Amino acid sequence: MRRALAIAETDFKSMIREKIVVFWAIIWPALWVVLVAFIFIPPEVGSGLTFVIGVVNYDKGFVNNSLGVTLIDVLKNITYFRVLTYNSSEDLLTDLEKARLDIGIVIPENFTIETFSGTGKLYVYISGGDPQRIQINKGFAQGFFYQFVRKLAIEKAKTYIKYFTMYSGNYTNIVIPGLNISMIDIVNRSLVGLANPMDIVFEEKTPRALSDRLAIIGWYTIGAIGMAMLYSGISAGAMAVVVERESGRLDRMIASGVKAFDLFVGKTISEGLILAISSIVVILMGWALNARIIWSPLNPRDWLVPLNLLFAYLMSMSIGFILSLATRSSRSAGTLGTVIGLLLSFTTGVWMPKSFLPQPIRAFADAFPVTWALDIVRAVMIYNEEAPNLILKQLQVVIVTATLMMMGIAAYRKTISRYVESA
Amino acid sequence: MVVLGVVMEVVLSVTNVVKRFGDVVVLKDVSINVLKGSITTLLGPNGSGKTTLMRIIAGILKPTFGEVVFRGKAISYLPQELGLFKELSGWDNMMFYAKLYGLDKEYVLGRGKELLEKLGILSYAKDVVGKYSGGMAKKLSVAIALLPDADLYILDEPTTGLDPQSRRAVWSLIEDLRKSGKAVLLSTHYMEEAEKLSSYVYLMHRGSIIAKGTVEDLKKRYVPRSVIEASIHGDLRKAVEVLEEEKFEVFTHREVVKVYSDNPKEDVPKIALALHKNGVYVKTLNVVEPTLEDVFIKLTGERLSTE
Repeated sequence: MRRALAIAETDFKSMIREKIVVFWAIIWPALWVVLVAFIFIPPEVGSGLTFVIGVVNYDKGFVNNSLGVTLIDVLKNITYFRVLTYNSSEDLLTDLEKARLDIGIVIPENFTIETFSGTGKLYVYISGGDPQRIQINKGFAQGFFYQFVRKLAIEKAKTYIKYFTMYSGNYTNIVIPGLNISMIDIVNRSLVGLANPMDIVFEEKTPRALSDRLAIIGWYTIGAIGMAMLYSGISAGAMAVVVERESGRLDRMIASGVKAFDLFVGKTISEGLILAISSIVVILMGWALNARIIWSPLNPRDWLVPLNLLFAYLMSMSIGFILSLATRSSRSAGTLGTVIGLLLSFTTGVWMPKSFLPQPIRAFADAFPVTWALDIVRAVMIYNEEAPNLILKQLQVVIVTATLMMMGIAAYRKTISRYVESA
Repeated sequence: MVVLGVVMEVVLSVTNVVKRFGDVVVLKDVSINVLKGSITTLLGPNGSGKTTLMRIIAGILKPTFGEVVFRGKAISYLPQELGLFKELSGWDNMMFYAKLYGLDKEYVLGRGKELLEKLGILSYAKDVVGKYSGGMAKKLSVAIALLPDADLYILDEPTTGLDPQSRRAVWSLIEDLRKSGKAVLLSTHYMEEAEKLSSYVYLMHRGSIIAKGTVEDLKKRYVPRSVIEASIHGDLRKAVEVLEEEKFEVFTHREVVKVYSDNPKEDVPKIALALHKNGVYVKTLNVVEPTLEDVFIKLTGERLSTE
């Protein structure tokens, strides 16, 4: 063990002084968190959209009442709307065509009279800076006027009942035998039912982790750690032996009594220390950007986080050891490890959510064991999942990590003997 | 083992070792002994199997056949590659290998400083090895190999790439090891180094030991005569033809024609006259003692090194 610790200490000191290692293992993943926070998920995400609405009101009203004015007041009281009034429909249409407005409304001359005496007419124009925004604007306008028309219909029904009661005398108080309900109650319910046939309850039920910007940053913070684990762990495993062989240190170490196990343990510890620093830096970066991630040393459940990051690292390193069988130089091992690590990051739900992936790749992501370990990390840090709900998955992670490590050690021993036995 | 009437302890015995890499046989039935308090040299050109034999002795390679018996506790090995961490200081590198050998810090501070000082790189010990010149890195590598208190030091071309002054400093350190009763197994293709340091020499050629003995033994056995060296200006081939017609045993090395002679006093004028008569211009004519290079050429018809 003395030799393994000496290798770990010296290898760590050597790596931490290499700028390229510091960049890839620490700066690069931290940079991704910053990119997520300020470019991919910019601050305006989750704060709601603002719609610029232009209105031309030609409505003359009826007996000191104007439904047109009421409509404009309603629009002005909605937080998401910024209402601009225009004097002519030509000016309004010009601004719509120049995408200065999201929605344009033209209230015609007899809007109040026609609405109360029958069916009113209203002109609504949709604009927007891009096709996606136009779709959003259209949906929003339709949603707003659906609610507005429904409320208007209810008001009309209530007004009708009011006047019906006033001029119908005692006739309205007739109680229908057997039902014990007055005639006016039945008319009232029927009219309101016609105006508003259904009460639809809308409620937001987005995934907890992706419900707002800070939670999304938290999700990607864990993704950045996972990404670093994959490409750094795999590269380190792939290069562990060949880099020692090329430098001549392998021969020297073996001659001094270093066994394959010492080198394996030493290399695993040194790279693990680098990735532990990387994880801490990335999490601190996430916290600095207000990412919603939960971790407390006082909660025993939260220790599943470092444990599963360790499992993710050991699995990645083992994959690297297996890959080392296919490489002949440190350059090819490093390149292969980085490429495969990055590729896996983007296809296994480590960096981006599995729901973003096409179905066949999603099936691969579901079966990828490093993702399982990171799923547990996310379950704790993002979803605040209770420990008992994670037991089964944790068991799977432990078994697969042990299996992959055994395969990795076998591959590593074969790589060592191959290099040592070369001329 | 009895050497010149003195009983010497055998530290290392290599018996009938064969090494194959696939279909290529790199070592063919090699047997050597290394004695305590001696410097044993493996001498041969590149590709003769010296490094492979050393790696087998150091426990890095396994022989295909044969036996290696080491009677001691520790081996220190200097490979041809430097085996250093370029991002760390010279001192950090030394401490790393010291830890692998389980050396305590006090010992390393004493012996390590002494070695670095003798090799002239103590003042650079705290500098990063990546900034060292090739010679400095080689000297650090040698110092690390000589640091442990080993029973056997395996030094694979310890002075390659060093200037003459540094080479002499390394020789002095190796000589000190021998004097302190340590066993040293050295490989080199420098004649001067082998002749100066070796207690015993194994000449290697294409994976086999072709001759062994002390330097003097080898010379007496294989090149008992003096060598007359004629530096020729002009046609070297014509000079060889002329001297062969005069029944001399001749070979060439660079621009020099070498002639074996039992009686140099008589042969020098004969050679000068013969060449002069045939219009071959001789720049210099010297009588020299034979070297291990001459032994090797005598045995193989090839030169030891291209340098």
